[in-house]
Amino acid sequence: MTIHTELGSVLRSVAEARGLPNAHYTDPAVFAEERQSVLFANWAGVGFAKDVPETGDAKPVNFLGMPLLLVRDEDGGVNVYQNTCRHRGMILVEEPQKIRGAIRCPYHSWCYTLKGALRTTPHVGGPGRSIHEDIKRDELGLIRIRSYVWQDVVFVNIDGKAPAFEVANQHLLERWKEFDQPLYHGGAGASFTLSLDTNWKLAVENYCESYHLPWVHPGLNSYSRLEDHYNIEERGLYSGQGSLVYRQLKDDAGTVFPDFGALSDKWDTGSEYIAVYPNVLLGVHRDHTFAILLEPVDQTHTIEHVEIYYARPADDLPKGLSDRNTAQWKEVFEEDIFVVEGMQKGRSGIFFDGGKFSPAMDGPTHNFHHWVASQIEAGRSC
Amino acid sequence: MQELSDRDLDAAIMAAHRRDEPAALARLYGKAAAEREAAGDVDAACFYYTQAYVFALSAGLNVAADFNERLAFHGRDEIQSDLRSLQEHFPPDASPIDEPGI
Ligand code: FES
Ligand SMILES: [Fe+2]
Repeated sequence: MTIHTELGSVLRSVAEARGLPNAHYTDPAVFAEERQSVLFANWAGVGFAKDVPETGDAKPVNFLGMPLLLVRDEDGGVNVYQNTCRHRGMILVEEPQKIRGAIRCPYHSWCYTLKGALRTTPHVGGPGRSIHEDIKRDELGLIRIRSYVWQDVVFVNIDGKAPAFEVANQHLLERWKEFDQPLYHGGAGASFTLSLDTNWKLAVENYCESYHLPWVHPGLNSYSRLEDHYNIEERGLYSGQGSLVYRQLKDDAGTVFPDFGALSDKWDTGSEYIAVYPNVLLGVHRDHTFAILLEPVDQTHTIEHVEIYYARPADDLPKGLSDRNTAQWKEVFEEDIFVVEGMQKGRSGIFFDGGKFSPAMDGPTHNFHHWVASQIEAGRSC
Repeated sequence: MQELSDRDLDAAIMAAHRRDEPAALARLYGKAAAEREAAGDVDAACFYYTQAYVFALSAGLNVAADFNERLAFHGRDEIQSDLRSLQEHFPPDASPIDEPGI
């Protein structure tokens, strides 16, 4: 059964709009609709290229029930396949592993190359005969999922119908082109996950706006005041917030992280935090970036995968400083947990009407609601 | 004598399966295949070459190209032209592959 929620009120201007109806946060049927129209029909983040650093590295990922396989090929490319054998549908790779010469199905040993081609089909024509006229190998390669790596995030468009990544995200790629340079993951200490009892969208909605900073992050706000922040909103594209007063972390000797090369003056004290719709949250600073991948588990559960990157390899960073940076961000993101979980709880109130946006402060969040509603409407009209 | 040697080979293959050692399996199946081929039993040889080929592929061994060539020669598989350079991309399996007595 499909529930057709009413979205007209979400698609109004921020001054008049309401937020998405409760069902978008609580109802499994609407979650299924969003899976298709919002998450599969756009460029969603499913993993990080740094998790498959070398040729043959393979990592299985379950994205909203869809089994995917990330594979680094011999030319250095990251490939994403449906993790399902073309023969009788066996799951191909169940644990992260190093593929040596072939992705071998554990059932009847059909073998695929790192580029997904079907290399051999042992005994398919009878014992000792690996060819059969009805087994056309060039039609039986792994199903490739469109993918694109940006800021180390592996984005996929599962339904295959979205515009190319560079087209869909052209505006943002242009905005941040200065950060199109090598990123080095900070190592094991620069990686953490948070498990949240909330719908994935509430994490986006909270990340977009700076309105909550003085209340939820008083520590952050003591040096980063509300008026030092600006809204970022591009209708139909992305939204977030920027800061004019980013201060670099220093160790006791006053050493800071190395800067990214050739950044313009804007970034001396500037930083930006943008939600790349649907489910990736990025932050950029002169000396580090981070990526948060929101893994929607079900309508009320989300896992946040947080990864932090620097301008130089982890071994070249000031000792202990990246651990402090991780701890600082972890504290900030943990401070947000009670609000994203609290908004989820609040949506059990049957009289909640989607809420009322502050035209001055909630624009970036409304921009996201507007985008989600537009994706769902588009899905309903085809 | 031949009988005993076959039994030893079978046992070694079973042991390598239990230890999940593709490089050893490639070598042992390859040996079984060559023996059957020399004896003129092409069907049995190609069964073993197929097994050897798949395990050599799994282990990233250049010898996969040899097995593939035998199979293609007997019309049992398609030739794969890029197999000679397999080990350049994939470091060989570090697990021990020598079976005592074989
Ligand atoms: S299901 Fe994969 S080889 Fe049969
Ligand atoms: Fe926050």
